[in-house]
Amino acid sequence: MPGWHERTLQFQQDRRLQLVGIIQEQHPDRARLFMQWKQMEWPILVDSLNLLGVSAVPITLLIDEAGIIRVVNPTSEELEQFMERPSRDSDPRGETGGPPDLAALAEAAVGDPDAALGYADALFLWGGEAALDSAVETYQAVLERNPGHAPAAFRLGVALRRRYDSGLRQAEDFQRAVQSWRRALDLNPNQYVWRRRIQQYGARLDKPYPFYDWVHRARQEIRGRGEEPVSLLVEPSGAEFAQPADRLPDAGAAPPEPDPRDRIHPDDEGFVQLESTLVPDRLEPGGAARVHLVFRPNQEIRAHWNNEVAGLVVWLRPESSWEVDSPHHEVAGPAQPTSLETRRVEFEVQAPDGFSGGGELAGYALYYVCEDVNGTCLYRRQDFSIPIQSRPRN
Amino acid sequence: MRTSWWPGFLIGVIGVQIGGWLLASGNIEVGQPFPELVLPRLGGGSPASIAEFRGRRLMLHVFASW
Repeated sequence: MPGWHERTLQFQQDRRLQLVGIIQEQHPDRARLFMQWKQMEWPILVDSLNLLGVSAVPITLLIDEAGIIRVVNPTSEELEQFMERPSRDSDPRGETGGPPDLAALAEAAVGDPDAALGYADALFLWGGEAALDSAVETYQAVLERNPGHAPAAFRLGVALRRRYDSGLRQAEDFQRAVQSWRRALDLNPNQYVWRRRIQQYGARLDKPYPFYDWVHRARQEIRGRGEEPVSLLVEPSGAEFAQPADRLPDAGAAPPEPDPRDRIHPDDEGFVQLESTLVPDRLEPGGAARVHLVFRPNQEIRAHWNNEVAGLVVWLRPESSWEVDSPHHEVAGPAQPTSLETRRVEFEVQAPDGFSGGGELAGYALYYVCEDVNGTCLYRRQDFSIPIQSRPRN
Repeated sequence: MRTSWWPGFLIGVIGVQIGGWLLASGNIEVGQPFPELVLPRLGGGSPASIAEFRGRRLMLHVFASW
């Protein structure tokens, strides 16, 4: 696409050709950073829900003055021919107007599944963060009436992940998003835009490319030009930077297990809340998944990290036939003595070739934590067990 | 965005797949108007549709930054 931008600069400057984009991303602000990096200033429309229905990207279209599609994925010669065509009379430019009337759409959605899907879409697109709960509920209602509605399943996943990234996050939103995307993909396995949504957060063994490894370089180059990069609402996670691989990487020798005899007291007080997400949510025999662990200090008891000793350590105890990229993972705390940040650990797990039914991945986390109610600071252990269900090979 | 990294045969396969979808869907098809879709603008602002850009030739990229 930057190549097309360069090749059409003269046409753009002569006002003979306009460039417009429609992005198909969960996190649209990343495209904004990309456009800033590549110094492309044309309008971009956001289609995170894949309303357009394209099954793969990129796609380039040449559209004439009257709004008629003339060429799909043109060659340079076809662009030249397109620009040399006589001009066509065109209808006046369409007036888009404001956002739709959500109340009217809600009324129309009663008892009409098609209208209900449109209402859910409108809630997501135009209702803001406050409407995410209603969008999720409406997509769910559509799917209850029609469990085989693949686009509704995909869009439910988009809304759940959006809510997970918002201040209205509910437990397991991310895992439910992944389940919903997988359900959509099971119904339509040739939909690559949907498949990418899982791969974006998934294991290296299933990645076609590292999705957002360009972000760091983009920021460096933008700053090098004396500009400030646009900020991102959600920073890409480890999975979104990870390079594709055909096997679990060898992490080298792990340090000794930190608590092999289970001597550290468990976090019975619930100082830290742990949420795990498995991507994909089910594993084929021999398949790999990315596990996202999120640790949050419990705000109900005003818990916070104590950074004066060490960071958070995760130790994994896979069953003998399972593999993990490393049994040991560590997150350092910030420089200040105490902090409240969310701590994230990601790792990858590979099922044995004979995997069927279900299994689990056990492990524990160790952390230094304090609470403000009684002023207690402790070193605590939290054991976890992540259930993993199998699925047949495609 | 990453097609330049893909093996050539894979580009071909995806290209055939895209073309097949385009012809099969009736949604985006040569000779037909672009679908009327009202979408948010990146960076905010009023809703927009491709119909707003009628009157000049348009190159439309459907893409992702990855």
